[in-house]
Amino acid sequence: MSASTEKLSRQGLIWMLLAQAIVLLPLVFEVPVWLTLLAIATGVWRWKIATAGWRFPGKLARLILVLLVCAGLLFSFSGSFGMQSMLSLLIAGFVLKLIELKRPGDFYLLCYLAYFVTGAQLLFAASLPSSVYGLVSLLAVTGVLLVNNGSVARLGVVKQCQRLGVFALQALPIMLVLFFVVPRIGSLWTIPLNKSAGQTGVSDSMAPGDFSNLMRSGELAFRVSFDGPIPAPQQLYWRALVFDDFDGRTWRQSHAQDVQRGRASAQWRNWQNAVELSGEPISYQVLLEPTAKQWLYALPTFSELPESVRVSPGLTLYETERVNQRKQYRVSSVLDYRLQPQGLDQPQTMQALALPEGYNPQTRRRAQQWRTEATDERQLMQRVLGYFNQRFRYTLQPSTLGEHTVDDFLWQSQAGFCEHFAGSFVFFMRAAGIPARVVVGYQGGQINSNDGYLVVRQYDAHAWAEVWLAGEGWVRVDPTAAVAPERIEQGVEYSLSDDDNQLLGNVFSRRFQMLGDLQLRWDALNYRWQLWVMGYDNAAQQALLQKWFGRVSPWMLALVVTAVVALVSLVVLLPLLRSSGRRLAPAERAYARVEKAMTRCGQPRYVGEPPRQYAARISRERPDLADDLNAITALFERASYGDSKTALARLQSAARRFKPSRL
Amino acid sequence: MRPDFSKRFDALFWRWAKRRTTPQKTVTLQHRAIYVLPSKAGLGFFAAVILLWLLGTNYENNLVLAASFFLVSLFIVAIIHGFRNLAGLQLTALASRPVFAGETLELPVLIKARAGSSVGRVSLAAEVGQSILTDIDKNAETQVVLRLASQNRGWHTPERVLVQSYYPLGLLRTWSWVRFDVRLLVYPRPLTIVQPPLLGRNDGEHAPALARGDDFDGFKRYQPGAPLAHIAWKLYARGAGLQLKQYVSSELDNLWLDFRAVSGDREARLSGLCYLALQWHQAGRTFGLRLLEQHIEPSSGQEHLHQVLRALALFELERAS
Repeated sequence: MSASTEKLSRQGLIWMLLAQAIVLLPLVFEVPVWLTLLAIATGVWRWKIATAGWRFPGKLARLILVLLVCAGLLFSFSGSFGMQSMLSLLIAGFVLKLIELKRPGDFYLLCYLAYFVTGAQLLFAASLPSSVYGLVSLLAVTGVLLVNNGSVARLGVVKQCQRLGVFALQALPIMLVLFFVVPRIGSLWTIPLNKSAGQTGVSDSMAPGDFSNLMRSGELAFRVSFDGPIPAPQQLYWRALVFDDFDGRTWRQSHAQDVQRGRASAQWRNWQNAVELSGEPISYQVLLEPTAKQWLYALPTFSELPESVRVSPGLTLYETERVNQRKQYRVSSVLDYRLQPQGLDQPQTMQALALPEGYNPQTRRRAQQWRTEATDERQLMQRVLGYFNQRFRYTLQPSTLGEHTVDDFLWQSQAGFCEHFAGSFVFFMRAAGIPARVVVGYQGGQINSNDGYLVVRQYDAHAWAEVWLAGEGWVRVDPTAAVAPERIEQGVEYSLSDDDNQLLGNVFSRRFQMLGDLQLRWDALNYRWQLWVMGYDNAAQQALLQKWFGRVSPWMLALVVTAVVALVSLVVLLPLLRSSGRRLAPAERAYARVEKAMTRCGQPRYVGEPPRQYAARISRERPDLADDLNAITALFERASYGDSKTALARLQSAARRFKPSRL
Repeated sequence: MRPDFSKRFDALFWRWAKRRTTPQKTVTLQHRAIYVLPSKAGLGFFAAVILLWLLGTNYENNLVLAASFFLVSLFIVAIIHGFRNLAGLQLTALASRPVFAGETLELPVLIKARAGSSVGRVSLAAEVGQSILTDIDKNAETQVVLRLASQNRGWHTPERVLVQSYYPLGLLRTWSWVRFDVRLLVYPRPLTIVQPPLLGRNDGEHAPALARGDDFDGFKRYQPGAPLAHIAWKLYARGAGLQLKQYVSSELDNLWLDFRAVSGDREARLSGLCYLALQWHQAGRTFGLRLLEQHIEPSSGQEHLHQVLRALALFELERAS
């Protein structure tokens, strides 16, 4: 390529360094700190090579640098292989390549790496602003290519950006049609993202204190669009996991429930037989933020499920793979249901009554005592809930509990939040011989009044209890509701003291109405983006194409793409087709008139002869025309290059008056 | 691509493309003679796009997919713009100065853009490795000077001029071959020879000598353009300013360049005559040319020199061709 012999332009280098900075900036938190420092160092180094006469690294220096970086990567990721380590490797190569940038031909590889890194950047952040940022990154990298190939002369930044903008605008329609019609093949192989996704979120165990951490986060958990009206808050129990195994301190899933450890056995194939539904199903769509976990959230109990989704024995939903990307799924639920009213089998009953030996002796005694005093299970439950209601306080700052957590909570501290209430209630029930278990998930959510969907955040995390009653099956009991009913009906922020509220995530937007409103609008925009752009999957594509074109065939799609490309080409080439020649400026038109007259009288201008030289030649050959032509030439030069209006007017009148005679 | 493969491809392609053009003084690049293929960098770009698409597909991430589609679209738009950069360009070969064989021929070409064409970087080359990069100015004419080596005397026609553009992103090579209907004159290569005794006055009977036997007639004030050999350097050294030595030349003083009077094969003789013609012109001599049947009467001056050299350049060539 001819460019290889050229020198690297300063402007090209500046664009490259800027583009690299733009591309790498959002990834600063995804890669080790030393890599960021290395990127800055190589950038400065390359700049100093161009400006301060620093030298390119020699072979040995490069080798040492590469070995150091490899060692650093090995150390930082300790051999774990995932998207994040691959990305770091890629960035390391990208950054090191910069100090080998010598000729314009070297730009290409750097630019392609930058394109790929931009793609990775979009993988880690897919919100609306980060998408816009991704576009800016792509344009910046394209700008490097343009600056290095567009022109010999150095154009101003504005002019370059203008050119770039024109290209981008023309590329946009083609990109859109490709986006809409190119088939989605689906995942080919899996490389874990090992990203920090889902650091906050419901986890698969519940120890004292877990939930209070969760509730300090205002992060988005998921968003739900209901086809019909949104059900009352008391009905919005987003079920995720069932904990039926207690070791004295922590609630976990028993092996029968745990989908991650015993995936195949955990699937509940004929769950439909165990549920009795009554009432109309409500349909809704959930957009779940990446959790890095397998379970999904839904209202109990479901009547229709997406194909890929499985049901666990605890009547919860899960995916076969971890949810590493934002996931969209549609569920229909019937809120009025009975779960396993026919009865539990032996192992299930055993599990639902099991308690660890030697813990919470006081509670056990009291439970047995209350059991004998009560006429039936319902009455016992009412008594416990009533006890909660009278004595207990809802707070995010409970005092620390000792070895016998339930004893301490029930009979001493009497202050806590959902996990304490649910855990001790289930313990109490089991001790009294009633099958019970803890269910965790989210409760409630905030309605976005702008768009009519439900936003569920981490602080909506909740734990409640399920008790099995003969003839009724598993019945949901929420002990928290007995203590702080406003927690269930209005949301966690209404159930806490001011002091506690400070601990909740998202505290500012809760305090200031306008800020909260802005946040709602912003979230609505983001949600729509997620739903329509990120959620545009194979099914959505089929539906859309069918709506537009009826029957979808590959030929049809190829035709559509071709049509759009042709249309863009036409728009770009239109000025070329329209003009048969060069469009002349007014001054050139006037001068052309003079030229024509001169040609008629036998003194044409030679091809490529500059006007001034022409005038000089004519002055020698036809002295009679010298004055006129010299004056006209001077006016023409002033009008064309001096941008003078008066010169143009005088030139035009002089051209009209100019009537050379034939010799 | 290995260079010899690309060279062979180029030659094959040219054989086909040649039929699509006709030589003209002014060539307007038409769509039928403009070719577009991805450059090496363009192939690399495509590899990057495919990788990006794989990334997006694998993680089922629409944004990454959109990014790869955006790059594909940019590529398509680049094709159109690259084409528009060349389409409608008007190239005119201007008159060129004759050179001596072995020197570099210079072919000035005037480029006019058409309204509506993109204005980007274009390279022109009449020969491999001699490309000239220039920006096309939408509002003015651009002039470039192409260089090509001259091997032999006679008319030299550049086989083809490569007009090439990597505009706008370097991913595509857009090119066209232009055939100009121009002939560039190449004089013989001047080679020093000892003046043969038989070459000279009148019919070459007497031994001539450069500037000898001319009658010195006095001094004259220096005029720009006079041969340096005529300057009276001794007077100049004495502080008398620039004076010219004046000679009176008689009919007898006329020198003749005679093809038959020099030895060697034809080319050697022509080269020798060329050398002498230059020498004598520089010395301000009057001389004529005898090339077998072709005669040029003795005279002097730039125009005469050109006439003589032209005759030498084209000797026994025009008839043959």
